[in-house]
Amino acid sequence: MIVYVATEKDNSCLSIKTAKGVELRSGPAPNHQTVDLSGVDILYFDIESYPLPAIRKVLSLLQRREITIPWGVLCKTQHAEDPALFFQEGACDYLGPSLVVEEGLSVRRLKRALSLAAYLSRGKCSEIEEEEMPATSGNEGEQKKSSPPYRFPGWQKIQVGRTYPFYLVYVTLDQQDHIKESLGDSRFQELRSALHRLLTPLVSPVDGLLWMQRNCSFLFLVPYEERRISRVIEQLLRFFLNFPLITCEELHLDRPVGLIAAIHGGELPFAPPGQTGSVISEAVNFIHHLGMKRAEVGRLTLSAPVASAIPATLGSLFVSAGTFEGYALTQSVRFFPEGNK
Amino acid sequence: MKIKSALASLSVRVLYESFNAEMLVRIGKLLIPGYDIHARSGIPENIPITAQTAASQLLKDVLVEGRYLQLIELLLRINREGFMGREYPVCYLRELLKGIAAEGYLYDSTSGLFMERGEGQITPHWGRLIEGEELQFVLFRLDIVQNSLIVRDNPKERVDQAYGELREIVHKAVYKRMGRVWAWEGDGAIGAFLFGNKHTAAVCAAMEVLHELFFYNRLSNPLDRPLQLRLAVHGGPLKYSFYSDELKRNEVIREIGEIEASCAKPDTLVVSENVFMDVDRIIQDLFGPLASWKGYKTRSYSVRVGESR
Repeated sequence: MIVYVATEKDNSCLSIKTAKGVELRSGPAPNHQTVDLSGVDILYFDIESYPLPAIRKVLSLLQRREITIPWGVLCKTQHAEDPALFFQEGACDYLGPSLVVEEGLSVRRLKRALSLAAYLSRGKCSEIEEEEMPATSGNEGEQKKSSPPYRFPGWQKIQVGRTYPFYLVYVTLDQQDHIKESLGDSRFQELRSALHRLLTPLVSPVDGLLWMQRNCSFLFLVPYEERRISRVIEQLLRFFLNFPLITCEELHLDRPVGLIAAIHGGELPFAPPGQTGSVISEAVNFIHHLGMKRAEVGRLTLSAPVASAIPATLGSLFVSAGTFEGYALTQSVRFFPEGNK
Repeated sequence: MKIKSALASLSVRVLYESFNAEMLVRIGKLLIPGYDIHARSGIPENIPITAQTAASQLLKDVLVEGRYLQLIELLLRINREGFMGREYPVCYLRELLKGIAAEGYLYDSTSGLFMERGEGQITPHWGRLIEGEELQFVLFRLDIVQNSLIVRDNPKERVDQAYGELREIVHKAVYKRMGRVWAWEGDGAIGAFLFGNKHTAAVCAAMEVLHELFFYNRLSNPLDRPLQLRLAVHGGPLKYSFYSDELKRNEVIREIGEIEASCAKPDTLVVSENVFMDVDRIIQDLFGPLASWKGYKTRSYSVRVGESR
């Protein structure tokens, strides 16, 4: 069993006692490609070198590189002030000073940590699946639980009429009738084209597809893989923060307009863009209801199947927002809140 | 600046078909202080100069002085506004602009100035400024907070990585708005804007840098602490120089340094009132109230998050 200790201190891990069968490696946190985690079973952060924000950054970088590894923390001289915080972030073990210095790392201990990591990861998956399909029959739900993680086959292999899981990304301008009235038809069409030009690059790097468009409302399909929608969440948050600049410089509007965005995950029978009129799907209905009735201006609203894809280090920018039509919601905080200048 | 012979011939034609010799000498004096066409051409003062000869000589002289683009900018202004109360329609302007575009320059109708297209090499002087040329600039300055502590407490490769990524963020925000980054020193940078709506462009570039940093600190900062900046935007007349020591003698550069160091808090952009007045309203609304310090009137902006509308 190979254990990697991320530390800034030289040889600090050498003082950790290990049982037979446990190989200890140490070095800087795997921020860079140069740190090789191949074969490593579990990663421990020395919290005297890496406080929680630094750990979050490393985990986020690993997530971007699509590396998933069980992780824990250790402290050699002094206990962490609030060890529970690490578990809330997804840690599967905590090695305090007495364990590090006196007892040491046993295979049994590591196995328990790894099984906790496996349990947490399974729990996360099943939680997503349960929340994803509240209206589906029990059989379908059970079928999904036992199936391996979904891999998108590519748009060329997607068959019309067959049902696939997708993330549905809805983006719209608030009060479009009012905007249209004040701008006039041709200027409104320009606005629609500009928005199309600006929104497409947010989803195209993850193979997103503009599926439906009506005036300045857009519905994109993104393949149902968490790493893809994580990237879209990040890009949409940037879009919200930059929206005043975009309004002024790209949309050439002289007064603020409201932007609304929502993401949901679910299954739908695929039809090509432009031929979606006959699609009957609970997920499509839900995302439209969510976007039009519940999502707030200036915030990104996520339904339960999407919340787990929020990048770990952006978690503090989201808050719980109650439920809507049976789904728990999470919303991003608002940039530029009034009365906070 | 060197131009192709076809463009040179067209330019001479534009000059002598649009103006008489006397007017061409006036144009020469506007571009080159103390311009004396007789001295330059060697034609004695008692011999009259034809418009065609004057046009050829003027073009030759402005090319030697590196003021060809300034000549065409002046022709465009005279065509638009007239000169001393009289109208002077300038012929073949469309062809002239086409020829200049083929040389790699674009005309910015907002500022009335040409600039390099920026598709290949991007120069700090937009391929057109000349030594001592005085124009109204909007400047942008940033300073890395606690630079020495960052350098002391982090391994060199991480500092290099973070500062390299910061440069990319700044260059992207500045170049896409037709601005230029003039200098990177150890803990900061200075940039300039001259074209388009330069006031809004400079302020938006600085805001974008703050926005990008907001995400950079959360997603990929390799340092042991958040990378924080103090930013300032200020404008005024500036005599351009290719030499940084000479450039720094400009009052406006001294002022922006003072504004940034004294008025901007970490993670904050401070904009002087003279720039702020010309910024689009939609951006102005995001700034705080007017503040004063040692005669500088400023407004500040920082990324804020919250729950309320």
